[in-house]
Amino acid sequence: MIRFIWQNWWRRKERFILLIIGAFIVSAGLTYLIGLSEANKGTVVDTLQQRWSASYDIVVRPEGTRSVTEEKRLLEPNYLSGLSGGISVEQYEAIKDIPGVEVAAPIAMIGYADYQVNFGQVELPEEGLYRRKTTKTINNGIGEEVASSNYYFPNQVWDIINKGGEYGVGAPFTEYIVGGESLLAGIDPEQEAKLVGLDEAIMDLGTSRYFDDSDSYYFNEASGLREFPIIVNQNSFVEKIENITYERLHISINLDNANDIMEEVKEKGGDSYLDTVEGEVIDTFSVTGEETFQTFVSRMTGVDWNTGEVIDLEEKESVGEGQLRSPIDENVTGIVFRPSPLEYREISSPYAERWPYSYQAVPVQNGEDTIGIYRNKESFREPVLMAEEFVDLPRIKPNWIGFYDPSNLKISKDPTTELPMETYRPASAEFVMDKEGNPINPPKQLKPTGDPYSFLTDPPGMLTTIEAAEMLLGDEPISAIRIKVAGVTDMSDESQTLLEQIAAEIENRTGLITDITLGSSPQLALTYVPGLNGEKDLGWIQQPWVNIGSSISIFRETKVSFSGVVASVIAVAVVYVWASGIVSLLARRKEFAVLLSVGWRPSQLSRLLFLESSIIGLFVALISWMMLAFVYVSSDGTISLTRFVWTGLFGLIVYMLGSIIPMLLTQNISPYEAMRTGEITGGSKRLFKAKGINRMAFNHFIGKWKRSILSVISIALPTALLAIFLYITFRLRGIMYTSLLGEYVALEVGPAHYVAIIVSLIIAILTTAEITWQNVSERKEEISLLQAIGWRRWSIRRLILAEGLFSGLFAAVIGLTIAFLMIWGLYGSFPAEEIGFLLATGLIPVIIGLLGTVFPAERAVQIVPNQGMGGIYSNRKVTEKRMKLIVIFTAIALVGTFLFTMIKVAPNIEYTNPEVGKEQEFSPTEGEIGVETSVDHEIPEESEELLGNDSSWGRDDIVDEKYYKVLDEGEDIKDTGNSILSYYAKEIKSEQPQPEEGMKNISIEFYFENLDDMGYRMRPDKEFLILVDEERYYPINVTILEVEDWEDEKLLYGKMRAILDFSVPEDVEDYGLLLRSTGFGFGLLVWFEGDRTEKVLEE
Amino acid sequence: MISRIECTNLKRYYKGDGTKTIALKNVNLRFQKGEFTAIIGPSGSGKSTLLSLIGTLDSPSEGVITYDAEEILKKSKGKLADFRFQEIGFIFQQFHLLPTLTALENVLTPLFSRKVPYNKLERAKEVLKQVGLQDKMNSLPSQLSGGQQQRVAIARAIIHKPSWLLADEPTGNLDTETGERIYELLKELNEQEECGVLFVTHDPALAAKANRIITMKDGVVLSDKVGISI
Repeated sequence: MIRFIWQNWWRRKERFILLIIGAFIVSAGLTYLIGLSEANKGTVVDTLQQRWSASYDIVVRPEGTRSVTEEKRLLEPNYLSGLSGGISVEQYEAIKDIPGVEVAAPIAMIGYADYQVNFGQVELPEEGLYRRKTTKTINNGIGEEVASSNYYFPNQVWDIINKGGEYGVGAPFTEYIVGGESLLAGIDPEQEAKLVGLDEAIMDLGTSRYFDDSDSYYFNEASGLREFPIIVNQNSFVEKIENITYERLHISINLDNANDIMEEVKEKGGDSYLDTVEGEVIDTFSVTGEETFQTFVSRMTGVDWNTGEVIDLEEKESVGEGQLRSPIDENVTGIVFRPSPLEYREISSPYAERWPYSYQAVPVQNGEDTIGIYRNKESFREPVLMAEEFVDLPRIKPNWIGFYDPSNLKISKDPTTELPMETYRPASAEFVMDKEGNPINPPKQLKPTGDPYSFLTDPPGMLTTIEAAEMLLGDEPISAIRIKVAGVTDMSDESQTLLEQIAAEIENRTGLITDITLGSSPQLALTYVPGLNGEKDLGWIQQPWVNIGSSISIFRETKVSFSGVVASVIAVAVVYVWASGIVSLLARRKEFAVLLSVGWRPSQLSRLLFLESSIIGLFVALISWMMLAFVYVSSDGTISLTRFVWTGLFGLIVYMLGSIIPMLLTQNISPYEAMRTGEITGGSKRLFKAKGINRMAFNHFIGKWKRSILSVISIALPTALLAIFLYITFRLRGIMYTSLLGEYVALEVGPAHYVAIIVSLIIAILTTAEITWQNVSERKEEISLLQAIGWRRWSIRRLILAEGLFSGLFAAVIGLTIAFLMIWGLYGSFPAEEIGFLLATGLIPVIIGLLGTVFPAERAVQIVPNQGMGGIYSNRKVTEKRMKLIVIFTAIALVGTFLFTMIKVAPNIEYTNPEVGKEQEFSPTEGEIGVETSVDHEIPEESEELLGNDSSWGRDDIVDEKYYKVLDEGEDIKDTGNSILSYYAKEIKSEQPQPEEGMKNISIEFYFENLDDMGYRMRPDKEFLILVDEERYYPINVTILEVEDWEDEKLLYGKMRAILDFSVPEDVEDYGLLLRSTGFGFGLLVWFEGDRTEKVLEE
Repeated sequence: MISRIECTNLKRYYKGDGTKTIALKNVNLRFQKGEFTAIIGPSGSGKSTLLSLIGTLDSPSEGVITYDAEEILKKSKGKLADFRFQEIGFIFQQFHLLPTLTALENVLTPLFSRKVPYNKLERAKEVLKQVGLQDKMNSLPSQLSGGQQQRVAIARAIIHKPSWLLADEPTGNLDTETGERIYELLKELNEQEECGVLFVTHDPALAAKANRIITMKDGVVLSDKVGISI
């Protein structure tokens, strides 16, 4: 049968080549789409779900905290850091009680803890006027912000008591005191641990630990200090250097002329005059912001920053007497400022294509009543005080309990994939354009400055409990609650529905506002940052904002378009396979009738067709596997075994399914058809009178409507697909292209879609070609007749091409109709705007139809009136030989590549075989069960010499001393005086299947019992080997009959009885079985004598 | 072994586009194994229809055909195929060789996926020898002359030693001389293998050589007479 099929293909070379091309395209297409793109799709989907995943699904905020930017569903980065209170603990508890809420993690941005560190005192040698110059250098990522201030004081020369500020001097200030601010936030330790794994991020330093139940807030009545536990962020994000320099001014002042000099200073303008006076540097001191914070934490907590050890305070004091103030004093710190949000105003974007969203930061003009440094100045955020009066400001004593490292939190760590929704890192901000709109290349990364009201905020430096936050802030301490909902694992409509329910429930119960953040994606937005206080404007900053919920729509569209594309390609492939099956059946209908009349059963015909399809299917599968393997080898990727198998099987299944229709059709073939001559079709439909070529072609097209439909469908499907995909792409681009995710998806998905469409279009061309080819073959007589009556070649060509054109036109109409319906179904709107290019895609099927008929038309033209039918088939020796050579060569190359790649790929395949698991579950203490352990050991190539003269090697060649012991077959080592071991081995009849040529099977049963308590390394497939001269053969199979105390299937403490199967060259007679295990040196050898073994086996 | 075929009241008509074409009406005939029968008549007289009915390629619209008193046509298509394989060898005017197979392979086609007690290849070579084509075994039909092709077709028909040989104008596409030889071959087979031969022809001269001559016209048997046997 196979031979018959083969001859049938082989001798119709043109068709065969067409068939092979079809098979190649189908397999390549399927491989790409199922094997690679499906993997690709997986990545896209996974990326959508994981790449920008926030740790929470819903965020709950107090009423009125939505910024204007949220009208466009945009959240500014690190929006959480700008919120201050508004949610009560009762509300929080209510939310926690809502069923379905898995995690409800509150965050309370308490305020900026003000701290000061004293690094010692300057020694001022002489009397005189001094300048204390403080220079703060902050690297904001773009440049250095330098701010300096001067302070003047007289030293031991002039009494400042009762003197006003007009003299420009103040009381002597000789301490190196450096201050800073750190954001303090309250969290619920338990919930935060669940949400982001904060407990896991605690550093292993000294006594550093996470919060526990014993940590609580305490108001110290005596000192008026509020004590609470804190954990401290070990990462510092501010690059700041503070320098303090003492200068002695070049003004001759002494006790005698002091009053005169000072009056003169006052007259000249006080401190502004002093600023102009040169001075001599006495001492200078520099410290970074990080060092300051570390020292502050060390002093405050009494714990060394780097080691986490408790510092011995007494020792410290003795070292630096007079230099250090009591650390307790320094712990006294206050919280002055509360966080406040940035205000944005939407402005038109300078580059709307790149940045559709553009804002301007609106600075706050502070008035006369604003505190200290912000008085009468501009700031980005409105300064908010913890208390109206200075005396009411909470004085705090944070008790250090641990350090945490935010980089160990369970949140996205890669800054490029981070969704700026977490509060543990400063938001990224890139300086992309200066104020004139000139691009900055490369863009610079903006850094926080540590100022509570600057553009970028610092993440919290200290975390405490919600309890402490409530005590410090009052009734409504919580700024936001991040909710994680049980059962929401992926981006899907179900998840969305669930979240909406929970969110509605929260709003009902608490009256707070909720936003679903699942499926948010970063959206680059541009912000214009003006200069403050008369400084130059900074320019344009690009920041990844949070586009709430955008991923869900992208995800949905991607999913729809992707599954649609893959399904349609598969449909097109199936149609092609059907078409070619039907065409091949039509072409051979008469042959089949003859076969039936010579006594073939109809079932035999079905079998023939099924076999044919299966062979091509197998071929397709093989090619798919090969290509897949090749791709994975060259790209070092991994592939799941299931996907690998399925990709190939898919081609096979498509072809096997494709044989069903032709198989059914064979049932209608009557053997009587063999008797009929001349007539080909019973009748055909006519719509028009055949007045010209086009109508004639049209009539023929309609007459063969069944097969015409096939070709129309195969063209229409990819057309519809193309139109829909183009529409989706344009839509995706229109809506999402500027979002990072949209860009990413467009980039990732685009090529796969286009390849899919190209593949299906090529398949469509093939289908049309196949069908037209058959039509031409059937109308050979007609065409030769037309030629005979004097038609010109071009007319005949036109007749055939017109058929293709009709297929194409019909396909265009049907395809576009499907596309419009689909678009309407998906989006509920008629694509009025895109109608132009959608209609333009209608040209493609017409071209495809024409392309498909070009070859058949040429074939038709070449039909000459009296051409013999048999001419196409040839079995000329030379051609046969050549073709054969080519085929053999190709086959070898294909199989070779396949095997090579398979070997290479095999380690990359993730084994999903559950049996592997079962094997490992085998419990060694259960005895007497036969366990098959299949072992794949390569049998070493037998060497030439060995084959020829193995008789030269025998028992005499075994040097007994070399081995631990040499036993004879069946001899127990126990009987030779060994008391720690019982071990013997004997050859048994092999149950193994017939070995390959030139090899033979040897099966050896051994018994190994440990009489001592030492364990022996025992993995029978590795420890045992057969020794023949220099050659070693490892077991190909191990059957364990009985085993006791075999730890991890590695160490044997008990006993084991097992059968080892070997495959050795046929001429091996005498050999040694070597057991190499713990304490056996070169090994324990059992000598097998060929003759005796045979006797044993015969018995 | 079917030794007797009986047709009773055979009718065959074809329906199509509202018209009813009657190909055969009220044919009653009996054939004995070993007979050499010629069926003669003008085009459209129902000769080929009769042959295909007897050969179970088609079934009658009315009437019964019994093969040794058994109504084979009532059986399934598979069984019918088995019957044709066992009992009937067909020879067509168009030869109907499979163009992609060599002469030898064409002869072997009825045996594909059939279990037979003899060596298929040996038997195929034997029958090719019998029709005098032992040197053309590996030629494709396109490389053979018409007469040679028809002889391959005959070899294919007799490979499983059928008890009946049905030939539909076996000489129709051949020149007189070649036709003679094909006729001789059929005659020889009739005598040596003792199989019943029914052959349809236009050629009265050929028909005259048969044991029995059935003349048909318009689907009716005009005459049934013993021919001038040589």
